[in-house]
Amino acid sequence: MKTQTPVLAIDNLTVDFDTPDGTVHAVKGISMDIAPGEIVAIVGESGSGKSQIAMSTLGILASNGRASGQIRFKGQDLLGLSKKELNTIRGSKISIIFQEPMTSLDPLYRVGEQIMEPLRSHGGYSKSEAREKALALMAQVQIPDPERRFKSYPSEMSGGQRQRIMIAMALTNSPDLLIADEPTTALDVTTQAEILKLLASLNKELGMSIVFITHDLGIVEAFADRVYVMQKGIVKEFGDTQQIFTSPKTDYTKTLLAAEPEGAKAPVQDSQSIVLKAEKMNVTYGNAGGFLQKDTRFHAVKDTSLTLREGQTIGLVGESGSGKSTLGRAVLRLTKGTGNIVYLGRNIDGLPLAALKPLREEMQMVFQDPYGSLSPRMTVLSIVEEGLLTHCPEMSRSEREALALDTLAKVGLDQSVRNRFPHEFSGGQRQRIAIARAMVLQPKVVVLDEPTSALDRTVQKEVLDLLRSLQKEFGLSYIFISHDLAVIKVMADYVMVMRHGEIIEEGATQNIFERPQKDYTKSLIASSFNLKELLGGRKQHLTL
Amino acid sequence: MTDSAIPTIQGRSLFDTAMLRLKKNRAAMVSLWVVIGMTFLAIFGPMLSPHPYSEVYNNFVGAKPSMTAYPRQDQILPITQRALSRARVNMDTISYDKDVVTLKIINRKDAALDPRITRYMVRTDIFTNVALDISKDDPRSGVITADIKPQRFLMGTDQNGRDLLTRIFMSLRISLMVGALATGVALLIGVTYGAVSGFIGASVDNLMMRFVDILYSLPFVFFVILLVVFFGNNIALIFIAVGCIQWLDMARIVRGQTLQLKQQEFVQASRALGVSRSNIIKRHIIPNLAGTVVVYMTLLIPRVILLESFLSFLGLGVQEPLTSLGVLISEGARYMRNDPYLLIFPALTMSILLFALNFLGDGLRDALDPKER
Amino acid sequence: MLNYAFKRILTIIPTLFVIITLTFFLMRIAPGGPFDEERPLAPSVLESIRASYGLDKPLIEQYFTYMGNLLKGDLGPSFVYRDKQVHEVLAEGLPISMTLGGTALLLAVLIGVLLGSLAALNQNKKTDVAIVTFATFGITTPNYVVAPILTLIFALTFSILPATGWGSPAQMVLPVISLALPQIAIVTRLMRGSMLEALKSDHIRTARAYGLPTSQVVGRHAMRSALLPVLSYLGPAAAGLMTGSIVIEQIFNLPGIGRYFVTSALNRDYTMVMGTVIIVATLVLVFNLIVDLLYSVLDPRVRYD
Repeated sequence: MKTQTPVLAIDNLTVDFDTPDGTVHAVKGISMDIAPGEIVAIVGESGSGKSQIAMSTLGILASNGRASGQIRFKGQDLLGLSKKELNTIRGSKISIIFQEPMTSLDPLYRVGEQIMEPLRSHGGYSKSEAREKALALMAQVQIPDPERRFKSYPSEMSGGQRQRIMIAMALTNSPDLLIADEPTTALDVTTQAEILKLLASLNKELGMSIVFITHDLGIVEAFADRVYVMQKGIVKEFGDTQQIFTSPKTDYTKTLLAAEPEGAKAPVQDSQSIVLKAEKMNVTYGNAGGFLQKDTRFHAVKDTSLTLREGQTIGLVGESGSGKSTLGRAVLRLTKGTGNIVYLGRNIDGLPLAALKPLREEMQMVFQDPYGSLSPRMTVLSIVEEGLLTHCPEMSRSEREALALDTLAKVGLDQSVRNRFPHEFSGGQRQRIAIARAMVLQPKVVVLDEPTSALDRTVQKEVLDLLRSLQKEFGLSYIFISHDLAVIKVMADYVMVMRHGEIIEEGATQNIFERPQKDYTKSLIASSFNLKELLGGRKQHLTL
Repeated sequence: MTDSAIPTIQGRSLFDTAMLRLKKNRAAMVSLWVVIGMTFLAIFGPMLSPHPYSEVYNNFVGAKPSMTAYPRQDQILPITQRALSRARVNMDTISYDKDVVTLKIINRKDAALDPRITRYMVRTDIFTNVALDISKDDPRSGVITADIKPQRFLMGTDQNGRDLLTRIFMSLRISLMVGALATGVALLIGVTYGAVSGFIGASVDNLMMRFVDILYSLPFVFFVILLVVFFGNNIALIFIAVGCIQWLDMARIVRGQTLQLKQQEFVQASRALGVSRSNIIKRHIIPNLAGTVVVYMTLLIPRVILLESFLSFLGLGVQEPLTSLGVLISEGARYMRNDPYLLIFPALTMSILLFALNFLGDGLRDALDPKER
Repeated sequence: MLNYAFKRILTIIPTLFVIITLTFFLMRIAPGGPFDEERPLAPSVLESIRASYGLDKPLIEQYFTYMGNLLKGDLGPSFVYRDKQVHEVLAEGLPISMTLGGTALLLAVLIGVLLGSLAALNQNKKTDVAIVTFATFGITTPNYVVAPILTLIFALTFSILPATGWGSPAQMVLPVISLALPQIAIVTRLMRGSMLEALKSDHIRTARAYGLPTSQVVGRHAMRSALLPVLSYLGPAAAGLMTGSIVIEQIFNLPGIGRYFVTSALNRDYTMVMGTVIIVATLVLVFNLIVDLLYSVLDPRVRYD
């Protein structure tokens, strides 16, 4: 494979950023090459510098960034080119798709016009030719009814469709190389599988090389021919996908591979007492409308029920917009909804909010975003203490501090963090603080809303272990909300699959994962665990 | 477990980070010092100045700005003659010895010199230690010795003979006070209104913001004039009233921020903890609004100062002998052709002050902008 | 779109009603009256004058009479400009104020957008610093300082342009510049800020990554999103400019309607005050409506709210 002239050859690339805190070295002298028709994955955790390689290649680094070294496209060094010269290459011979299809398209123009732009400026198409070609491309990326969708604005499309539009835009001038920067990270698993399928088929049909930048090893294994593993700005290891996955050489790769969630939770006995029972929950958002006002009502949760037993973990799984988070909040009465909620034999659905306050101590919640869930202007200690201040005002200051520090120790944080502010911590540490805040009150029920979705896999694993050990130690009951089936599979003993506000299937974890009944559940499971088969085992087809 | 037992870790709060970034912004730092300096001058300037702000120097009307002291040599004689003629005495000889003037005088009337005539000399503002030595032989004549009092008018005097520099200090004091007062009122109403509207949300929010919209379409200038009509020319009351109008923007901004903050997970987390509404507002909403509010405040002060000067220009603001930058500028504009310094100095002061406040506000906004991090 | 416009027009009417009512009563609560002159009139004369204008009736009755006349389009007679109807007085001044304000607005938008974009595209370079300094200068220097200085230079010293008066294009130059300068400065700053924001956005990164020429990246993509905040500012600003500037009209001795704000309020010329308030409020509301409609043309996302 190395015998072919590479499409892209990167030689000793460094990327530096000037920040108020000094120069940050994002990429520290890496080299890699991509052969024609090859799919190469660059894999690494957040902050590994993998995206900056793509940005440097296309000359779109942030204004405070500098790239040095060489990036040769078919022998021509891109870093040395003027903007004008570079414009003849990017968008025609090299194109890119980004992680956020929502913001990557201009919200003010129709998607059709946006596909036409690179055609007009590079391909020299006339307006009507460009329109024809754009429609053809939209058909090629499997957008239903291209004529109608041509006139849509990005905000009127789903995430998956927007990403298809981005791909259509990328294909406009039949590029030799497509850089895909985390293109499926913001998408649901089933959509992700479809997009990957599309990319794989395009790679096969058009023979264009793909650089696939991702943190998701599952995708890499199913999709890439070769892999570069990056950490902190350097390439740790590279090689054929199979070789990397079967016999990794460096410790870092081994850790990454071992970071896939593992374990299982034994089901709880039916004899265990019921902690929380919710029946016929309904939540509706928006206004009914009226004179000159649109009906904005949206039925987020429809007639759903759940029963949580002591020590149990219910996995609430579904794609974005399925209503799983809303249901989680509604059973804690953090969102207005209707339905019958019984907590430890006590009916709480009719209780006024003031009467609910003492119960808050026993029912806690942990949120997804470790950046947004901690008040940026409070110290760690005051964040953890807040619940104690509210529920145990009789405690003395030193008692409170001691308990808070003790809890911090339990979640694996040193006492010295007490006076620091949230933004000084990494995502995983922040999530530990958020967990400490919930645990300090010694709750009985904890709703975990995507607690590990924003974390790297290696960090995720640690947090999952922590949640497990806390559950064991305090006999907690969890409602674990996640879109990530791999996490649900190892954490929950009971799974409920949600779609469009309804529970479409539920049962013991093992049953659901091994014998799913509904098509939707089946496709979810296939997209999450059997990507390889879904993509038709395309691996190594290029090793001629 | 004492604090000292825990290793101190260099933690940087958002505030520290913002300060650090502000310090890197030279324009903003210079502006900060300019604002501090001007505030100092506004407070202590009138006290430190040798001239009271309303003191009229009849002999120095329209004196040009100068580093050297008045009176000029050629001014002494005419001034002295005027003073003596008021005292109804004739001057015989005059001699200068450095800063001491010696006059030989003789009474016009055939009578002894009245020792009280020295006050005519004192009133000229150019002499001190005036002593009259009446001749023993001839009580009609005598010798006056007086020290020349050096007076400096660094920025000259206005058309009434008042020291411009002191008046600028005073006007700075009034303008800044007015700015702070009106901004304070606007802040109080705006933050409360905006935070309540945003936090309660739903139909209450709708109603409250509709009201703000209506106030927005009112002709603002007319209302200020109406307020002047109501309150007469009481400057403090007028500007409390101006604050009552200027809160609209603040309310909108704060409401927007509150709506956003309310959706933040840390606020929801506090709700999940069972923290009461008032504590959520106190611990989470207000501290996170602080940045925006500070920035907006630095930008509102110059607007109020401009507004005050506009009212003063129309003759509706501060009244004599008090003064403000607007009053000085509108007076200066009148005498611009002959005495341009009367316009230039106050206009420059105002420009520098507003420049500094604007740059400081911009700098603070950039420093506090989380997106820049 | 039509539905949206219709909805917005419907909201104007109650707003206008509230404003008129508020002003009517505020004005009447204020101390003093239209006939308090330097030498007081004899009580009987005053009574008869008051009666002839209907001021002797209960306030609430006067209010309903006024509103009734207003519905017929009658603003009533001026109390101070005797023998003249309010609408006549305003009709004389309004075209002048609107010409002046309209020209200044046009200048402000054209120059402000241009300078703002230029500064943003050269962020932190010399051009940027120069433009920002100019803009800050424009914001911090009130037009009653600018106007006399311009007069001093161009009219008195070099005698290129007339200092006062209205009618010829040359007479418009100085007032328009004095009026436009602060507005240019504000638009420049707004535009610079929103352009910087726009240039940082992801879809501009996309446009650049696809090798679109800079003219297209900036002119087509960044410009359109950057114009949105400027547009929001222009609604109230346009109304403010069109209804005349007291200061500029005073300095250049122009017969616009700006001066009526001050004089009629000070004279308690009730009908005149109401007339000016109604004009200003209507213009503010109409311009806000126009801006909102333009906004929805530029930004397809708001159309579906």
